[in-house]
Amino acid sequence: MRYSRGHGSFGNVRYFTVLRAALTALLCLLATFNMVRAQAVGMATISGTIVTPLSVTSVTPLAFGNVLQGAPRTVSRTAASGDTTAAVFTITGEGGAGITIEFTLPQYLTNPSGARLPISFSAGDCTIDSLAGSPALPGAGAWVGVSPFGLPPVSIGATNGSTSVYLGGKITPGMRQAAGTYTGDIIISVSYDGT
Amino acid sequence: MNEQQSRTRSHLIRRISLWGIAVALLCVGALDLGASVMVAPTVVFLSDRNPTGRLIVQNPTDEPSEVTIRFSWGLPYSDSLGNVQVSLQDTGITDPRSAVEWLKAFPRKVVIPPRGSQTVRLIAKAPKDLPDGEYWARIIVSSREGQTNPTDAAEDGKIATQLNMVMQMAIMVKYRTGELVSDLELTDVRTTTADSSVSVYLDMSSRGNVSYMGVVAAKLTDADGKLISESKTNLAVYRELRRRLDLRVLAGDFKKPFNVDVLIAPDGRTDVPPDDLIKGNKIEYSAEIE
Repeated sequence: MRYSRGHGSFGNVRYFTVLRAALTALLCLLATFNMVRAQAVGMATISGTIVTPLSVTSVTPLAFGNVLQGAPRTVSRTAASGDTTAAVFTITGEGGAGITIEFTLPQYLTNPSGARLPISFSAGDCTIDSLAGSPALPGAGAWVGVSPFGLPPVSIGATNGSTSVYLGGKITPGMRQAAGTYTGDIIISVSYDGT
Repeated sequence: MNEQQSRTRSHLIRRISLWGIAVALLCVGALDLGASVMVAPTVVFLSDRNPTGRLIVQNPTDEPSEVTIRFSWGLPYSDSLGNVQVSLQDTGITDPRSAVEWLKAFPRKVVIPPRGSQTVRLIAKAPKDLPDGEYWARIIVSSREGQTNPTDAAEDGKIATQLNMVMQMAIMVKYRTGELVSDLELTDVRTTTADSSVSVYLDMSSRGNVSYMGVVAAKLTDADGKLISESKTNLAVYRELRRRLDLRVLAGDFKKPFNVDVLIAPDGRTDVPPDDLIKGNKIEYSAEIE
C-alpha cells in the first residue's frame, strides 16, 4: 500500500490538525486489524516523500546441529530443513535502490572455557536473490554461489522491495574437541550506496 | 518568505515528516516479519541551524530487541568496472569531511520492547570555524537476533554451536554549514557492447562542497527511436565515482545503430524530502552505438 500527497498549505494550522488526526486514525486502524501484508509499505510525508524503512531480518540462523569429534560438518547455502539450516536474511527497503552487503565472519567459535572450534566459509557459500526465489531455486539473475567475503553490489528487488541472502558454512571439530556449546557472531551490514 | 516564516515552515515539515516516518514504521510493523528492527529515514540531515535530528528504530517482532548505536565512516566508492560499494570504517578515520568524531547519539544502547519503537536523538557538536560544506558519517544501528537454541551439547560428549545473527544497518548522516553548492561534472563516458547488453560507464566528479544527490537514468533505443531497455538508479557522488549502467538488448525487431541517452538529474528522488536536497545541475548525454 503506497500513497502520496502533494504540498500542503503551510500557513494553515488546522490543516495539520486534520492531517494528524487522519494519521492517528490510520495508525489505530492498522493496529486493530493487522491488515497490511505482502511488500514493504511506505507513507508519504507532507512534502511528498515516500518513507520506506530499511530493515535486515534474520529469517533462520546458520545451524550445524550436533556434531561429533573429528567429523566436519558442512551446511550448504541451500540447506533449509532438519537440524542444519543455512543462514537466511531478508533485506527490505527502497525498491530498486543500490545496496552494499558486507559480512563479518568468525574464524573460530568458542566455548565458555575458551576452547576454539574452527569455522570456515568458502567462495561459493552465498547466494543473493532480489527476485523472490528460494534457497534452492533463486530467481533468474540472482548471484548464486558467490563469496561472502566480497559480495557484488546489488539492488533491493524493484517489484517486492526485498532481497534475500543465503549463507552456508563449515565447522571442523578436532579429534579431541571438548564437548559443549560453541558460540560466535555472524554480522551482516547493509548500506545504501545512493545516499 | 522571510526568515521567520522559513524557519516555521522548516519546523513544520520536520514534524510532519517524523509523523510520516513513525506511521510508515508502524505500517511495516504490521507485517508478519521475522526477527529484525527497522530504521528510518534513509538519510539524516543536520545543519548549523538545526544541529539536532532523529532516527526512529522500531521492533516489529514479539520479542524484545537489544539495539546499539554507533557512528562509522563509509562513502560510496567504485572499482574500474563501475561497481559501487560502501565499506564501513570504524577506526583511523582521517578524512577532513568526517563528522564521526563530533556526532552524538542518545541513547546508544536500548532494549526495544515487542512492537515498540525508539527515537534516537542525534546532536552535532561541530567544531567552530568549520569551512562551508557538508560533513558525513554513517550511523550504525545494530541488533542481535535469531539465536539458535543450543542443543543438548554436553550430553554424550556432543558438540553444539550457537551462531548469533547480528544485523547492522548503516544510515548516512549529513551535516551542512555555510553556503552550499551542488555541482557534478561528467568527466568521461564509455560504452561497451556484448551479445545481449550494452554497458555505459559514467565517470563523475563532484565539484561542489556537498554531495551530489540525484537519479541517473539511461535509455537504449534503436535507429527508429524504439525503446529497447532502460535503467535508473539513485545516485550519490561525494568525490569521484564511476558508475556502470547495464542495458539489456531484449529480443525484438530492432534496427541498428542503437542510441543511448543518459540523464543525470537532481529530481526524482523518492527517498529524500525535497527540502533537504541541495539541488545540483542536470547533465544529458547521448551517443550512437555501432
